[in-house]
Amino acid sequence: MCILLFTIATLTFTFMKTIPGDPFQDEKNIPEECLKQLRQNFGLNDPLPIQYGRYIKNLFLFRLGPSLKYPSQTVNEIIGQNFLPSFLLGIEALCIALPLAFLFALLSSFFYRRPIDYLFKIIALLGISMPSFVIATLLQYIFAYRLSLFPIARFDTLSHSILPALTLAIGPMAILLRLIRAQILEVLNQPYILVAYSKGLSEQHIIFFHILKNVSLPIIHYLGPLITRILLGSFIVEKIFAIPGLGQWFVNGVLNRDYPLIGGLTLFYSMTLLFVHTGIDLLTMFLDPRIRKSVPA
Amino acid sequence: MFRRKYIHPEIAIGFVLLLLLASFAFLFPYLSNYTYEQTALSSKNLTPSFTHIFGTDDLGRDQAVRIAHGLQVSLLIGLLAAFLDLIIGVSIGSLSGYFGGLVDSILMSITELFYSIPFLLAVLLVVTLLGPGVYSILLAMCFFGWIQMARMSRIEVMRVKNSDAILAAHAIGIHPSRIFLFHIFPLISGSLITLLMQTIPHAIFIETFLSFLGIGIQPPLASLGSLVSDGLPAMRFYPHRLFYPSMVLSITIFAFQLISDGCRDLFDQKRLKSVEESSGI
Amino acid sequence: MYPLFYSLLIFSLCLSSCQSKRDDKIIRIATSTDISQLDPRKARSLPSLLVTNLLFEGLMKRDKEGHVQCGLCENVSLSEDKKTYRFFLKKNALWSNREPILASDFASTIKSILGKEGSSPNAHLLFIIKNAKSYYTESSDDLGVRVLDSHTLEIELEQPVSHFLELLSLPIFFPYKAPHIYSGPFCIKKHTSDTLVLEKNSAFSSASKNYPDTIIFQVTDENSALQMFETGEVDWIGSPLSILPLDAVPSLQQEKKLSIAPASGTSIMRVNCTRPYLQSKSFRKKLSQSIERSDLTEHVLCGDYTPSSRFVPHSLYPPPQSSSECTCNDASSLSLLCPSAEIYPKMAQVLQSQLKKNLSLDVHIELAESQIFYSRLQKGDFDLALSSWFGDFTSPLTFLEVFENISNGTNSTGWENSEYKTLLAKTRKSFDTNEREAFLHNAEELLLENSPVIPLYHYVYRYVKNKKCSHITLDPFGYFVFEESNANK
Repeated sequence: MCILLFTIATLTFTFMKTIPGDPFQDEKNIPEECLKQLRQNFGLNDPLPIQYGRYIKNLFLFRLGPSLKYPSQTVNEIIGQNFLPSFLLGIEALCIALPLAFLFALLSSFFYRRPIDYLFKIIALLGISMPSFVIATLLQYIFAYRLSLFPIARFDTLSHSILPALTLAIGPMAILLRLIRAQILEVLNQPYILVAYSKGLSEQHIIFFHILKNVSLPIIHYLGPLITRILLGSFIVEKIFAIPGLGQWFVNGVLNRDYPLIGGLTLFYSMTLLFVHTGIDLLTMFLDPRIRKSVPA
Repeated sequence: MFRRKYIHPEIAIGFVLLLLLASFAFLFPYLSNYTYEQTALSSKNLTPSFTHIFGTDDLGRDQAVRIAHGLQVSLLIGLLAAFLDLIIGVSIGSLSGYFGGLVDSILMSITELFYSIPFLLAVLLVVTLLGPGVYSILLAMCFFGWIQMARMSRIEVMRVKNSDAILAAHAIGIHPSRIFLFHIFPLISGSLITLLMQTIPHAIFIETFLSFLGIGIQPPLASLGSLVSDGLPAMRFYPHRLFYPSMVLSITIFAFQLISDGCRDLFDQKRLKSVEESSGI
Repeated sequence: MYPLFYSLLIFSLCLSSCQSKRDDKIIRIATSTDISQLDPRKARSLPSLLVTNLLFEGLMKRDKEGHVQCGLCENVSLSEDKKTYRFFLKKNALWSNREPILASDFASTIKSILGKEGSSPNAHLLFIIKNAKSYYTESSDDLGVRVLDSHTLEIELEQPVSHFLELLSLPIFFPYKAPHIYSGPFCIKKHTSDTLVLEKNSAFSSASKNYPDTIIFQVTDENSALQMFETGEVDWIGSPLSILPLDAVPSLQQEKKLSIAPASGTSIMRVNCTRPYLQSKSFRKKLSQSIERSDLTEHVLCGDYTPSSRFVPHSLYPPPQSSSECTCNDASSLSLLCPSAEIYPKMAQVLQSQLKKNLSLDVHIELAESQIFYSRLQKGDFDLALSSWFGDFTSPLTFLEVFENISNGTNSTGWENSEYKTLLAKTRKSFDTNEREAFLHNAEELLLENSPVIPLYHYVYRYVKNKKCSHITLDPFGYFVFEESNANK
């Protein structure tokens, strides 16, 4: 895992140094000697190997350095202050998407090929077909502006977070819905379900103990990409709902050539993803007895 | 595989939709009097009428032609990106699955590496590096989009590797490359096609996202994504500028998803059947 | 570091007296980007300059027409050779921590900017001070800034500069003591990545009832901002800190909700005079004449802006008259470089079709995101480039000096002219208003005759404010002006 992080860090560094553009450039004039002095102060005049060495050392020590565009803040501080809204939104989106997806999928598969099934299928397809910024704008316009049910933007109270979380949740929910439904249908055809029914077990018992357990595995496999998608898709939502999260920092960092910020954020995101993937792998191993048995003791 | 007595309804509907969309995209510009870049500032923001069936945008350009061109571009990007992903992903994945051992470990670590890089971030960096435009978007998406294909094909190849048909082919002494091409691929192609039909709309979506950020297709060219993001701020005042591109985009994605659903049903049934057959039930 | 921050904050908060916060004394302003740089020594962008102007004050300040008047100084005297200025500071001016503002504060600020660790991108603006450049590059002594006593400051310049007093109203010349100590009408109460809260500074000696108790700058995107304005969550949207969504402008105009203020800025198209075809002065003028500027302002910008083929905005500076003819060779295709943000792509597309229609010229648009745009501009890697220029002070010099030298980083056109340079140098040295006007007039004529830059239109500040802000307007440089409000009369 460390090798991975190291490679990612190196790749990011290479990328940033190859992209044209300069962090100190803008429309008004800066004479050459002032530019040189500025670069000197931020260590940008040193030869590349030295910059690289310093970069890796700082990353290792987690000293992500001051941002170029906002020198009064270090990247650590920026991440610390802005991670929480993105994280909270992500959790909320998951909490909306998972239960709803399960519920709709169950309903859909139990009423297989009846009107409700088709209704949910269409809802799912719509959820996948519309880009998230269209959904965000529509929700904001209808529920916040027209109906005044929710605040329009910002992130002060719980009600501020509902519309953005809903926007983030719709796409993943639609995908999950289809996935879970397909899985349930497959599981329903299995012999053990027939046995359970013939044993006279209640519907609830069958759902919770037999169906859901078997269905969860592929869902957990999908959780990885799902979490990634929520984490990163949050940028659009943050922009439209004026939420102070990390997504906008990365995009603005790239556009401003803020090297420390980009390096720090890429590392941060990669670490988060790696942890999530490892966690999911462990969870899968834990939950699926078949894999547990096949892993040598 | 194609000797079914009837065509799966979802696939049929999907294909018909796609055909209609493609004919709109490629034929409509020839039938219309307007071009996609022709500005006419005095007739800007007009609502749909007989002369402009989808209205005009804020520089007076005919929306219908722009949507047709946009659909061309989006379809092009989606298909090309997905096919390139297919080629790269399947090569890496199947090599990995077939040979196993060291090759597998190396290729899987490379895949893991790319998997851990936040996809959108990397696309952003690459497009900024290469400058905006169709080719840089394609390149950026292919650079990072092949992972799903690789994983899927690796799993499938590993599943199929030990089946009777392949073992028999080995026993006869057919060369591995021929086994690959003529025996393994047909068996795994079902899932690959399903995944392909999933990847195309995903690619179109990524392009939409990039257009929203302003680094997608550059004007005066248009893609569905850039038309939707241009129409978004005008939603309250000129809703037709958002509605029609979004509708066409949604229908396109809808069509691909229908086809992929149908494919999955089709090939899953077959898989279930083959599982039953091979286990002797 | 954090304990210090919080204790200073609490300290300064405790010092400012409590005022009952009526809601109409809290003004919320929508901004499109986070205003991060609030150090007056380093502020460059308009939002930073604007907010810095609210937090700090300098020797001179601006009135609502943009003309300078005395700020922290009571009096100024000028030496015979016009190079040495002596400033007599106000005795009762205080920092927000109640310490008096002294001449030594000014001197130490200037030295900190010019020192090695300064890291200010604006340091070169101080090079007009005697020996400032050598102090900066070689740390030599004998800087032309002298503290005569606690309230008297003397600044000696390298050359006489007739608009020096105007320059003193720019934040680079403001005194700066330490973080969280302010000399202006407001202090920072809270600063997060999406909100900036300013509170009235009770130690500010000219504190007047015109200033609101609290100003909150909120980062939102333009469409959300419009909706928030309509529901009353925000009191001011549009220039200078955010952009009004263009599609909303016609309906806002109809409902008469728009406020317009003249701005000291012009949208321009730079021409790279070193490229073939573009070296011909008459072709450049032909380009300029074949652009239908009123189309741009009427249709793309929905009115309010003034189409113009003059570089210096003439509503603010007196205009000379001229016109001209041309015969020349035609190019067949050119490239147009433009930033990918805001209104530029649309403008580029309209210009493309206009030039095609009027000149049969194929224009190829190259969009570039801002850092790449500036880098290509500096390198001269373009045929035509769209951008804008905003002035810093009330003299046409702030526009005309852009194209003075090729080595000037903002020029980028590869054009310079010795007569032009002489005229501008004479303007700086002359203290006679009529003489200066004549020089500037001739210089502008020369610039327009040669057309290394093709002006398109003059900017205005276009914004929407509600009744709470009826006494707040903008000066030509985009700074807030707080006038007598009706509630206080």
